[in-house]
Amino acid sequence: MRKVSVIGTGLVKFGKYPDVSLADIGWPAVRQAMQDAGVEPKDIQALFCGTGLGGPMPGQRIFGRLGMAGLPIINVENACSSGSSALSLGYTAIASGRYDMVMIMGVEKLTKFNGGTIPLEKEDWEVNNGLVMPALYAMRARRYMHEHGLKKEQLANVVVKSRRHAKLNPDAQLRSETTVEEVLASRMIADPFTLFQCCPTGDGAAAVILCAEELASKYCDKPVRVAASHIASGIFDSGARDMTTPEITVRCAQETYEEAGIGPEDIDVAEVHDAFTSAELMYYEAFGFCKPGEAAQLLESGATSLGGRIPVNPSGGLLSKGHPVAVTGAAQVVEVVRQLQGRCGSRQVEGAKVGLTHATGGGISGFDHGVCAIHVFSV
Amino acid sequence: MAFDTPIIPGANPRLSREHIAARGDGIRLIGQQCKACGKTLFPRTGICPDCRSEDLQDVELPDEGVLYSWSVVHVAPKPWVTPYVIGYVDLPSNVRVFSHIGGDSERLKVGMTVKLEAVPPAAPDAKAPPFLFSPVRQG
Repeated sequence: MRKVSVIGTGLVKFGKYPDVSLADIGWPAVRQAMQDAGVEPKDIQALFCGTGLGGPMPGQRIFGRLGMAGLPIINVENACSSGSSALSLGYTAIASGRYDMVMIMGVEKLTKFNGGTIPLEKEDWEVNNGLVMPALYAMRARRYMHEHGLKKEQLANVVVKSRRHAKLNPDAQLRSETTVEEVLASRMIADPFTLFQCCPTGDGAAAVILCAEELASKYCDKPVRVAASHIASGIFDSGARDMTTPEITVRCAQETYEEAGIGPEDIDVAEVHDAFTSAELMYYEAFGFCKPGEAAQLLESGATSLGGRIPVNPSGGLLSKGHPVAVTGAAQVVEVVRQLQGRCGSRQVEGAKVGLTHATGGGISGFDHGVCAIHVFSV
Repeated sequence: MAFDTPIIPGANPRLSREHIAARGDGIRLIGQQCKACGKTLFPRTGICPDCRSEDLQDVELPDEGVLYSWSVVHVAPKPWVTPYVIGYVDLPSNVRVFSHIGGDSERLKVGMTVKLEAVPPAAPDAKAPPFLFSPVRQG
């Protein structure tokens, strides 16, 4: 297998663009990534385009706009991990020697659903009986609170940290700092989660150009190596399941660390799937940043804030950036790659050499999550 | 061409009563038990995820279980009317049932015993599940 590098990144700030088509949300991210890498359309040999809810053939619609269609385009649906699953396919395509340079992207236009919770598959038993994503995470949170004595104020702390980071990120949607009191006073969504504890949605796009490592320096002064690319699917279990630990992320993290030949102590910066407050805390434990039951203490110690031992979600994460389903995984890569390139301005994690991205997708009965994608990057 | 995969009546119907049997003292949920390995499933699936046997038989599930967790839902798509309470109920024989939860949500507790109850339809096309689990009255 060949080594693979990231040589260019592009991002369309998440927001509400009801009057803009999916194709027009997508192409600016493609163009920005090509400008960043200094490559021409002819250099891109294949496109892997993730969308969860954007409908058929988003890649063709976007590349068609740019006069870049004609190359192999694979569209990827893997729920909230669609963008990161596209990345994994692109990685393998280069590592295997099939291509030298490919683009991966995520694109989404959620404003077409007119707000509310993210639409789920109606054939699913639980969805059909009234499950919504905030409530699923809320049930996990409640059980965790029961078992570990976690307080609602400690959940709210996750939002306070997220917004503190997002204030430094011009690409975040929610950039005002907040307080524990304000978080808890926002309206109830799914008990114990108030509005501020749930990620906003949004429209947006993110694109990443991957290249064989031996060719990367031709295009890019600061190529970033993909040190591991790992996908896991959930395990179906119709019986009792421990919902205080995200089984799929624990398993995928272990396999990813093994693939990269590193451990949690080697990670300098991480972007994890903080769709809801409790999720970020559980992921601290799943990634081994702390012991089970100690996540709130880790957060309170400042270790996961900018300037701490292991800054988590310096971009503000899903809670402040928003969560345009398929884009999230690709946008996390944009953030971590730029962190490792030292391009993140006031939210820069000083001296970051190794970074991690993590996107999960769920909403089907009997699974912790349906999919988990973890990538490790290094310079 | 015959399609010989077992068809589950009204797969995952929110309002289906196919999953419920009336009993003199109340109702029971109908799940499936795998005759090959003994795995119990709810709702019915037609194939055992543990051993892939298709030799499954309908079984009545116990009508009491333990509340694993719950949430009061305040935001949901149509046709749901909020707030409503959902939760996971663990039944004996290792079956976890996703269900609406009755009773006073302020008094729900993780680990409490809950019992299956029929929900009479308010109207012929009422948008409510036909069953829920409610806390067992103490004393």
